[in-house]
Parts: sequence; structure tokens; C-alpha cells
Amino acid sequence: MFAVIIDYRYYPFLGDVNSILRMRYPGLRLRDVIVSKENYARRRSLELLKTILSKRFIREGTGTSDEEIIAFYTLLSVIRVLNDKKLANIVALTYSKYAYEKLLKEPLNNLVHIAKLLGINAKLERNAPLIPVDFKRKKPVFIAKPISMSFKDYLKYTAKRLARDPKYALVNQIIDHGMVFLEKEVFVRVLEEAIYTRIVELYNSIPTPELPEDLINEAKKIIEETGWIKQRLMNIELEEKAKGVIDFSAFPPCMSILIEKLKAGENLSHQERFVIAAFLARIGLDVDSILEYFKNAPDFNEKIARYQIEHIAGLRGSRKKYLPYNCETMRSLGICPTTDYCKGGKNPLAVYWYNVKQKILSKKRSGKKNHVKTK
Amino acid sequence: MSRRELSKEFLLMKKLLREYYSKKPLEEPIYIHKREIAVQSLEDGVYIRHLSFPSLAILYNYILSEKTPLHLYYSSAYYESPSADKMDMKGWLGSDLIFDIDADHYPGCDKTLYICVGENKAYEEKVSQCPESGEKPLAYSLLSSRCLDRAFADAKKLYSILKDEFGFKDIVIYFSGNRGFHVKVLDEDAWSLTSDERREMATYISLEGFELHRVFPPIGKREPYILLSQREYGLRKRLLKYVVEKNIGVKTGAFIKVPIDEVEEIINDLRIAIDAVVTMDISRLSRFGNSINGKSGLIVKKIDINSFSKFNFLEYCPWEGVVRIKPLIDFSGLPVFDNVVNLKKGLAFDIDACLGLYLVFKGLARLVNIERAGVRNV
Repeated sequence: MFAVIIDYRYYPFLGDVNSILRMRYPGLRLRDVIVSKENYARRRSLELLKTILSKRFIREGTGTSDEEIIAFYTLLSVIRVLNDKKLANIVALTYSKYAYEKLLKEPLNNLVHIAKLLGINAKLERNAPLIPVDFKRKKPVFIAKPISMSFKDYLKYTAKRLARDPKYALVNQIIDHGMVFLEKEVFVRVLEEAIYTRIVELYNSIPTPELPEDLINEAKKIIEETGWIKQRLMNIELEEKAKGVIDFSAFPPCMSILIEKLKAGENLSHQERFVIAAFLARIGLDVDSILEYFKNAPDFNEKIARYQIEHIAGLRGSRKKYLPYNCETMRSLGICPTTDYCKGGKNPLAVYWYNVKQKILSKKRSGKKNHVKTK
Repeated sequence: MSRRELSKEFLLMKKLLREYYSKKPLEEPIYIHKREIAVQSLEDGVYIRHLSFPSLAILYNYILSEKTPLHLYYSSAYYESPSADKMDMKGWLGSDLIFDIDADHYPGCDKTLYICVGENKAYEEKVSQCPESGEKPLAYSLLSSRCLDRAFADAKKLYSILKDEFGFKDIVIYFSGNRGFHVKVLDEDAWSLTSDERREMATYISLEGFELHRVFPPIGKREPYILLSQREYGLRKRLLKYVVEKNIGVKTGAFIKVPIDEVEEIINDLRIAIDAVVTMDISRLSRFGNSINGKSGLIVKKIDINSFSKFNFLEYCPWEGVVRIKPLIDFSGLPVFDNVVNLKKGLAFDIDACLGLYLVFKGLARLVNIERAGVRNV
């Protein structure tokens, strides 16, 4: 038997705050424990809020495991009271990345134990697959895939996003008898995903807690100082305004040219077709609407075109949503014969969103000006 | 009653299909009461969806007295309320895992005739509209039994992957009744897999997006090769088996050395072409085992993986005796799997019921007489 010692200071989301409260502060609730401004967990939770919001960074704490767990739950509870899911996602993301770095330094049996705490069926393989990667001094050199986890658990944490990276795609793994065999680094990356999910779930499962009012006010102040709310409101507004609306006047010049060519029934090159389809799919046009543009093409075949557009839009095949080429690439391919091809970003997509944003901002500004005038 | 229902052919078809279903041949899918049932009926030719039956017996009542099924499906998914007509109201509970292997994508198996009945012409090149009459042509696939044998070999390979690599236990293979095979995983473990997760499994099987160096790191720069040990897992184990069986590579101590370009070729052989969209679809309709596929008149039949040797379409034919049919086109030497028939437009003739009804279900002939035909005991 290995001794497994988990350092909860690095992984406070694995701890059970209720049992700590019961053991250490019998009869007290979380709000009672952190009522004093001097309480370590309380101060720490505000510090975490600040560094996570402003720098997406977690400084190592100086408290005990129990204190760090209480601090972490205080932080999540504060966000729960503020009811800001996006902020919770950022905490989850920052913590999972922080944990990733710490996990890389853990011995394998600790990793397997942490995986179990996260509800993942994983084990250390005695007869781990050894893959020869070199041959030196008449002997093969191996890399080992010492950890196995059930393929269902693996897919649960990779299929949605991570699998787009070939390194994590199931097709590039060793699978046997329902288990996926992994190297340490890949396994740790999967754990990072599981941790992200765990924290978001924790956030969702916290009943709106009662917390000291001055703590909430302090948290609000920090949030204000970091400009988070302003940025959030701006993004919400942008999202709302851009939702379902395709703003043709914000198209970068190359995309406008391609759209005109399509409308005129010109025969576009393969690369031109790809770029415009990927662009339209990414700004939110559905497959049928994209097909409409292609219907004028001289060699239009609905079945083939639909298949390809579905592919580009990430509905088929590897499910990868393709990006249009970068401006530089397009220029070298001769797709974009204009001179001011990329003001506002490297990719036509970035240019489009930049233009949309500028338009909304300038409307806002002129709106304000008008307001002043009428005064 | 519609004109369609008054036609003589309609009555004959109905008689045959009813006779078949009156023998109660259908396989009952587990939890039939949690599945959506769909019928394309002979009576009105349209899909009737969102049906739900508490038991197979009540489904028989329906198909023997109300609607005669040309196609009969159940949902691969289990629902809280299978008869809700909006998908998001059904309450998805889980779904069988399905793979579809079509025989028409193998080299030499992709030939299709595009038959324009109104013009009495067949085109070898694809036409989406008949040039003279403007009608939609009938696509008639010229599949030989050899193509289906190849598809079955792939279905069998898929079966082994699902069993040995994914660790599933309850896997069945069906002849689809037309051009290929369906492989279904019934393990409860598979039910909850999401569409994204199924896509990952599909790409693992078709090796789409496979990057050789990640599973088979090449050794050496000038003439790169890989080393296989005696104890391999997953795809490496599959490759090892292939190499040993075909005596490829060079033994080097306890290892087998295989040049990387040969590995690439073998990998191409290990790919199984499946339609990923079918696998990803978690609310797909699936044909009832032992129902008749209305595209061919053949039975959707479970295959015993150990006893299957060669595809013979007669084994999937529910009919016996002789029928009289009246061809709708002239065609001498039309292949029906490994048989050949000669058709003279408008000239009725007697033909073996399996061949004759195949042509009728394909829309190339009218059914005139079934006095000497019936349903086999299958």
C-alpha cells in the first residue's frame, strides 16, 4: 500500500467544507466562522477574488488545509450571492489551471486517488502498455502509459472540447477492454477538465447562502475596481446586439468581395469557397442560409455542397468548427486583392467582430453627444 | 378510400405483408413502451411518427388491422413520453449505440443505375432529374453479394473492436434488408453516451483524424520503422495480429520491426467506413428486427456472427413460390444480386417470388398475380 497524502491547500475543491465546520466549529455556520474581518479564510477569499479577476492568478495561500477549504467555499458562496455564473466559470477555469500545474508534480498514486475523489474510475496499471519510441545501444527505449481510466469517463471530459486537439482525440489513444491508457501528462489534463466541471457543479449546488453583509460589500468593491462588471455589461450588450443579426456592413473587405462574387454566380476557387463558408458559419449563419449563397455557383450540387458546409461548420466529421484563413494566408493565396485587408485583427473573423464592436461603440458615443446637445 | 388503395397491386401487396406480419415474426426491442414507433404505411405512403405502444401485441393489432407497414421502425432512444410529437418534449432517457455499414462504398460496389421509368431508359451516370420526362429517377444499386460480404467482414471487425477494445458485451449485427449492416450495442453502459461522445467513438473506428506518430512513434530517421512487442493493447494489438497473420515485418529479438510505410498501409486496411452521422444521432429510428424493408421486400435479420459464411439474398427473402409481374421498363440482363433477369415493358411473366417481389419493391415492375406465392416460414 502506498501512503496517499493529498495536499488540500492546492485542491480545496476536493474538501468537504461541512465536515470541517462540524469538526472544528461545532454548531457554527460558515457565516459565523468568517464574521470577523480578521479571519484568515475571509481575507483569503477576497484576495483570491481579486487576483483571479484581475490576473487569472492564484497566489499560494499561507493557511492550513482547513482554512484554505473554507476560503475557497467562502469565495464560491460570495459569487453565489452575487449570482454571477460567468464569474464562477472564471474561478473554475483559474483553479483548474492552477491545479494542473500542481498535479503534474504529484506521484501517480496520488493522481489516481484525486481522480477517485472526482468520481473518475481510474487505476494504476501493473502491466502498463510500453511503447517503443527509440532504439539505443541495442535496446528499445519506451514510454509508458501507466494510468488507465474507463473510456466513458475519458469521453465525458474530452468529447466536447478537448478532443479537437489530436493529442486528446479518442482516435489517438490506446483503448483496451473499456479502458483508455494514458501518459501522466494527458491524464492530468483530463483531471483539469474534471476539476473545472466539479467547481461549476459545486457552484450550482450551493443554496444561496447567508453571508455577512460587509463581506459582500467588500467583494462588490473589488469587482468594481477590476472593471469586471463594466466589461461584462459591455459583452452582454455586444452579444445581445449581435445575436442572430448578420451585419454585412461590418464584413472585412475580402469577405464582401467573395460574397459579391458568389451572388454574381462566379466560379470561386476551392480555397475561396472554404474561407467564405467558414466565415459565414462562424459568425452564426446556419447551413441552409450559407447554402443559399452557393446556389448560384456554376457547378452547384446541393448534396455535395451541404456535406462540405456541414463539415466546415463542425456538424460532421471531426466536429471541428473551422476558422477562415488568416489574412496573411489569404493574401499569399491571392484570395484578397485589396490593400487594407486586415484592420482590426489577423483573421477576417476578428476583423468582423472588431467592426461590429466599433459600430456599437460609436453609436453609443454619438448617442451621448446628442444627449448633450439637446441639453 | 384512395385510388391507390383501390388498385389491384395495392391489395396484393397488402395481402402479402399482412400474411407475413400475421405470423408475428417481429423481435421485441427491450423497453418497447419507452420507444417511439414509426410506420411508413402502404395505405398512405407517408411516415406516421410519434406512435407508442405498451406492448408488441398491441403493435400487431395496429399493423394487422389499421396500417400495413412498408417500413417499420422503433427509436434507438428511450423516452419518458415516446408519443410526444416534439422531440424536446419526449424526455430523452438514453439510446442504443448504432453503427451503419453500407456496402456501396467499396471499390466496384458503387455502381448505380438511374432508371427513368417514364422514358423507359436507364442511365449509368447520375442524373437528378430525367432529361426527357422531368421525373425523379429510381436509383437502382448494382450491388453484388461480394460487396455485402465485404461489408459483413467490416461489421465483424467492428464487432471485435466494440467487444475487445470498448469492452461491450451485448452486441448484435443485422442485415439492414437493403444495402448493408447495422451493428447495435445494447449494453446499458452505452445508453447515456452523448452525441459528442458517440462521435469520438465513430472516429476511433473509422480512424478519422488518426495521427500515426501518436500511437506508433517512428524510430530511426532514414528508414523509419516501429517496434511491436508481444504484449500490445488496442489498435497496436490489432496491428500486431495483422502483422503476425500476414507474416509482415522482421523479428528482432522479442520484437517485430515493421517499416513505417507498411504500417501506414495496414492502418488503411484497419479503417472501417461507418456513417458517423448515424452513430451520433441519439434519436434515430431503427428498423424492427424481422420487419420487412420496403425498399427491397427483404427481411431485416439478425445475423449469427459464427455461422455467416457468404451473403445469399434468398436467406433474407420472406416469400416463396412464383409471382406474375409486369415490368415497367425494357431491360435485358438486369442484375439482382448475383442473378440476372430480362424485362420487357408491359409484358407480364411468371418469376420466382423472391426476384419478382424484389423488382416490385424497387418500383421496376407491377405485381399482377400472387396465386402461387406465399410467405415462407422464416
